[in-house]
Amino acid sequence: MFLPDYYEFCARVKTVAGHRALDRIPELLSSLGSSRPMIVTDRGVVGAGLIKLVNAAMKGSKAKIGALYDETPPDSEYTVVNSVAKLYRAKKCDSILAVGGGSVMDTAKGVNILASLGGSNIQDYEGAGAVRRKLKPLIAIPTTSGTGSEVTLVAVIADHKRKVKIPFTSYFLLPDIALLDSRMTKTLPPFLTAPTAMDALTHACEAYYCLAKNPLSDATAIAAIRLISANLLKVIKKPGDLQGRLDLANGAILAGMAFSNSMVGIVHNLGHATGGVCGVPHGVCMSLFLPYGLEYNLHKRAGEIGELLFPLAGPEVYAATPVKQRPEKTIEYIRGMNQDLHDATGGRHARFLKEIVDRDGRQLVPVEKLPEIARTAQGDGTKVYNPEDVSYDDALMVLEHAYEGKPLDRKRIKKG
Amino acid sequence: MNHDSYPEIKPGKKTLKRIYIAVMLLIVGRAIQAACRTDSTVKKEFQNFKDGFAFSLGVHPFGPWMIVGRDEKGRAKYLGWKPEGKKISLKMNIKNVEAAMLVFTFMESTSVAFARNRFVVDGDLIDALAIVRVLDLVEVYLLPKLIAGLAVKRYPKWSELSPVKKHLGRIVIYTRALLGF
Amino acid sequence: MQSPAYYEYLGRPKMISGKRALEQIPAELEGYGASRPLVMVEGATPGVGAAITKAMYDSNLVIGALFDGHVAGSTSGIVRELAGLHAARKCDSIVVAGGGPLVDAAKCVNIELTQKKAAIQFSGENKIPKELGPFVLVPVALVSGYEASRYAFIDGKMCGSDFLSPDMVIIDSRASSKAAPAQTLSSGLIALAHAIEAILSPQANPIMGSYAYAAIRLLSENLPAAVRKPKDGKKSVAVANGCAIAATAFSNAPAGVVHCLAEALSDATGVDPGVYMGILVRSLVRKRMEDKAGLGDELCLALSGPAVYSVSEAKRRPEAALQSLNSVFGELGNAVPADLAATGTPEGQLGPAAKNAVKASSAKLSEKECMDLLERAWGGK
Ligand SMILES: [Fe+2]
Repeated sequence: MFLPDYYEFCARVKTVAGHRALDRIPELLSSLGSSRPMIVTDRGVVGAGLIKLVNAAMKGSKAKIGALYDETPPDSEYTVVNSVAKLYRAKKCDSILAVGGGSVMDTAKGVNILASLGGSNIQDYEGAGAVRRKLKPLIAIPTTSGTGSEVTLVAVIADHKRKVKIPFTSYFLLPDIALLDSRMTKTLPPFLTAPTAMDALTHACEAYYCLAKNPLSDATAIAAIRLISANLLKVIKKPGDLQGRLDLANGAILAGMAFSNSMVGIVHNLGHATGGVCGVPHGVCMSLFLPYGLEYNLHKRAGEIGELLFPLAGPEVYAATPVKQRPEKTIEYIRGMNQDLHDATGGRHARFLKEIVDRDGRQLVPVEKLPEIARTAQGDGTKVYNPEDVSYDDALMVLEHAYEGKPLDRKRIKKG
Repeated sequence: MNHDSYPEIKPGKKTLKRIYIAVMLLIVGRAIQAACRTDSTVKKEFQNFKDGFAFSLGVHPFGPWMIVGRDEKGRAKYLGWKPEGKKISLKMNIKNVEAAMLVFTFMESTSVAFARNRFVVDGDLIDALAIVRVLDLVEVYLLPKLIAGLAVKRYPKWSELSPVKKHLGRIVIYTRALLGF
Repeated sequence: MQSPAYYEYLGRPKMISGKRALEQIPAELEGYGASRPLVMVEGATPGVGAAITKAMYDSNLVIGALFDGHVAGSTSGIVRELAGLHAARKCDSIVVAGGGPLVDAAKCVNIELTQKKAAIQFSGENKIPKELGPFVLVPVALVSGYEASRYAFIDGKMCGSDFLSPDMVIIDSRASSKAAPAQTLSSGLIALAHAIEAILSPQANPIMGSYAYAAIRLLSENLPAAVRKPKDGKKSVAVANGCAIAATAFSNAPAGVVHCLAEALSDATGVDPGVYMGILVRSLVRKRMEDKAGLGDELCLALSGPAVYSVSEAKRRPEAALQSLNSVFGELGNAVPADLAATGTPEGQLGPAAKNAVKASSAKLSEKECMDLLERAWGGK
């Protein structure tokens, strides 16, 4: 087992997971000393009937929902955080139930800072070390198996006026409890299940090759990949498979533990930039950039990338593939997964940039945008944690390949 | 229990290590200023900063530090070692003297130190990443390949830089860094 | 791998391990708004107190008091005195470097100070109502296996609470390489047994499995060398990592049959509990191979590692796993006797030990399964 000469690892979130985990909410709230939680969520979650499930679980509980905020935008914004915190205070809430995806989690974490430490503007807490004590109880209930935000210590909150996304980081932003219930992801349609799960798979793969890898990030990453790889296609073909849904949720939280400690690299670097410039959903970028990320880092991380074949393809394939061919086989395997997902979703799962279209069938990433994406990527922090340097030219080179969907021309990877 | 047997201890100082780090910071600070006049990449990075930008690099909590700013012409200017009274937009602090020693003896590259949470960054992340790129380049100029290879992720092929830079750039940056002009 | 229908898991401590890890203490405590720790080190282990003091140089932190006495047992008396020292010096946090009773006492000091009541009043499960003060554990040798876990002992009574898990476990060779070889061996065997029993427990889940996997791999690969070369800093750090990670898995699993029996035997005979756990856990693995329950894929993978696991035919994986475990003990050589008989334990102790183990498990274990395992282990089967 790889042990670096220095590492840090923290995953201080209690995981409560199962087919009927929601039913535990009353008990969990009382163990946290809270009786008036506020629900933070979005319209989509309400529309899918998931808040009803939460309310049903609260029946017979001493705790009562103090307030419901269901208008979290897809991009958590500081004005939203400020106004939700106001509502929290006005309704005298004492804890937060965050039900949703990444943006809901970010918003809830931001609200928790203001609710616990006081103040009316979240921007007053910008900067390192601003949050230094325990916040109010926060229970995170994810409705996708992807982002892993239920176990991360960061809240990314946008300021549309300044056109920036501010990361707030502190161990105190970690939720007290991450609650995974298979019913919460059961209704997520296949074309959304695929990219979100591939986001989680990417977290695990990148964690396994990035600079801060360590024994616990490795172990959680491997377990995550085993769960996701074995269940993703199964669930896409049979969305109501609750056991498969629970396995994916567990895979996503494990991947979250891995990457929030080992960090992520080029795949997220290019993905964040593509999302920022062209508005492509995060998971879509992840699935299509992942094979390129592996190819790009191959010369520095051949051993690790080869080891990924074990959790991805299982012991038989791993044993049957000679050590030298394992890294290539891993890359091939991920490309195969993307192809399978493409087929299983009737072509909605994009395999390369050119293929991504919006609802009206318009191409989301025109080729002229690639330079801007590459430039934006230079300002994204994940670049630091990638094993190989990623300059503007490198990023553009990878983007051009990913646009067409052809494997990386290995000769063009600079090896210093 | 006799409390006197278990004394309060006010920790001392690691003076020698701090002097070493201070000297390194001085050289790096001046080298950035020099490199900004010789190397087009460093020059471009500084042109991109906002007017009045200044950053500090040093050790938490008592220093030493070095401060480099952008002058009105968009060039890097070494502003000394005292953060007091200066408007600093980006603070990059290494968490303690020993971690700083790892960085400045090139046993840990800037990226690895970042990944290991040895740095606390206060300010715009985009600026911090630009500074990391600048530091990497300056290290390539200042250090022999054997050591710089450890300090940066990818040692550039000199063909990527112009041949003039290879020797002349290095000599110029060295002289300016040492003589401080 | 399949997720259980329901589980809970909490890995509370932040792990910080390796080069210059001790120097992280001031910045970490600062993150909690703390700057005046009570530092407790085992006086009998020279050099650790000095190393920690030196690591605090050039920081904002002041060591409120450096306690370097000897704590033979965690009693209400010593806890009260230490709490008095903590209060008199206006400390705001605790850093403890060592293992065993010293760590128990440190945790209980933390209870007493935050709850403003005698720690003994909080014995039992989940009796502590709220968060305690910042607590840093620097492992030397984790000789009881409870140090990095959610448990603490006072006057022989156990307190169990998530709040008793250290906030940070800081592993640095300047502390971990100070352990005596026998302590390293004992810590490693206890951790190995805890990790194996965690995977085999009915509460096993993917997160616990990952922690146990990391612990078992680290210990299998490093424990023998660390015992042979006690001054090897890297090996001692690897073993300390395995021990701390195993303790987190153990915090989430019920105490298993190996754990309960080894403690019962050790209480009666004074033989090191780690030695007992080493012997018993091998017998448990053999026994499970014969049972219908089997070893399970997860344990086979953890014991063998991916390389050996994947080349074995599915049917033969348990055997390969046992072989891997045996080879670890083979490398440890005579340090661990082959069977219970060779430890000098009187045979007459087995019956009472089984009874005590059943009691310690709150009757979750049956006397029959305890006796069965003891008899196997007696003959090294
Ligand atoms: Fe992601």
